[in-house]
Amino acid sequence: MTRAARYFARAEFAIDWPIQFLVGVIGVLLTFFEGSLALWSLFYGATPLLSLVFLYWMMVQYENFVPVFLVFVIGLISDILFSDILGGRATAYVLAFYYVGFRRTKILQGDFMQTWFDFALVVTGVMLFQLLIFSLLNFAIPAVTPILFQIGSTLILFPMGYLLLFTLASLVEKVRMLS
Amino acid sequence: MARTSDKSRARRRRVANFLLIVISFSLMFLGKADIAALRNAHVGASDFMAPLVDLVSAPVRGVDTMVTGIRTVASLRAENVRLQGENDLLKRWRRRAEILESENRQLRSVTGAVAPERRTPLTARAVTAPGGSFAHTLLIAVGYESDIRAGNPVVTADGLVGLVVDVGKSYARVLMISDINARIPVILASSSWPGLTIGQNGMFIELAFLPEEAKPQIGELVLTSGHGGVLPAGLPVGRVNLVRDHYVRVQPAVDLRSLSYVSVLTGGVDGIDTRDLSLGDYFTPLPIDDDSRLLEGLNAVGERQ
Repeated sequence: MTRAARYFARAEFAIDWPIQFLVGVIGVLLTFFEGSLALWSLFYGATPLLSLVFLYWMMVQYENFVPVFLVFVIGLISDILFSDILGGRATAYVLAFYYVGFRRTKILQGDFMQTWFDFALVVTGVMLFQLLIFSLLNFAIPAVTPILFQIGSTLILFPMGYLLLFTLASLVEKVRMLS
Repeated sequence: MARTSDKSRARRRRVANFLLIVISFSLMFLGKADIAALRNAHVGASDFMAPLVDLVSAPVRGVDTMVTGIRTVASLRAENVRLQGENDLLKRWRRRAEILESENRQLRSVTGAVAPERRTPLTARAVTAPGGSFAHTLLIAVGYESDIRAGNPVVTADGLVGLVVDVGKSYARVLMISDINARIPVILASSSWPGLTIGQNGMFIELAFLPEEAKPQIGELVLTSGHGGVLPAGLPVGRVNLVRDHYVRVQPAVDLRSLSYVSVLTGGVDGIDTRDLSLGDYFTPLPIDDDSRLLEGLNAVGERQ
């Protein structure tokens, strides 16, 4: 490979970086927002996983913009913010990333119900994994009701988040076409 | 050439993914091992993120205030009637309290009871509330700059909220009494039986390790006992809410779901210094002697006679 070819290959590889960074910033902000939702007594001790809704949608629609490292970092920030076991949610998110990567084609070919069903599996998997790790490390099982509430509220909010993200994506697409 | 490059890239990606998983699991176990460097990094990260979270929380707080305002206006008349009734009741209670206070003072002078350790309350704003199902902690906007130490109790006018576990420069993390790792030595106010409250990461806490003879009553007040010397005695923890066989459930005295401001009781003990916690200073194992009973031959201060 010539020097110029190497340059362009590297440039092509790095072209996604700004968008990946932007995705990371939005993911982190959503995590903070998730944390602030706990100030409402309705979501006390069990806020919906908004960052996971966003990451799942991005992983399905724009795979290239969501590197696994980003998913890991957002999970780690969640762990620090919620004072969970360090790396617990990060690992769960990374595993969810691999699962979505594996199922991506089927999710894209399926209808919304299929997407929702797969998301339900992802959310349940993430929470169950955290519960398993927590129980193993603490030798105690926490109250299950908040966990079920967290899963339920995330699943209820998913269609809204999906619609919102789709609308935003199409708006961005329109702006890009116009410019 | 291109195929080789693709192959090596794929191999590198696989190695990176594998490393990421290894790091994730390592973090979990290192975090549990409570290594000082990791704990400091954790505290530093919380310290860094807290102002950002605070900023992001502003609209949420605004909406919350608005909803509360609308609710208040809607229920103003009913609230006024209720408050008048409550005011009359409080006046009667105040008179009763004054009588009891006077009686208490007289009794103290007789029994020679000492006043509780001096502690200074420091008001702090709650930046976050528990958001996950696996930990019930709170970030408050005071840190070691305000002389906060790990182990300081955190209270409201209603009772105990928890105790400070991590202290950053301007922010501290509070382990709430509802957290599964919170163990508070308590007594039943009416019968004085000692016990231990254990959080369940839910709305209620469990009262465990009560003696067999204890008969907790529904509505009975649960207070901190002061055992262990970290928390002062007499702080309301909650009221007995359910008694079923050996299971006793306590409703926290403080509504943990709506905490905006809390008081940190500084001073008293110097907090828990886990860095220099040498077990040998506090615990001397007894020599293994199968023929003797555990406390046989020990005097009142634990020395062998």
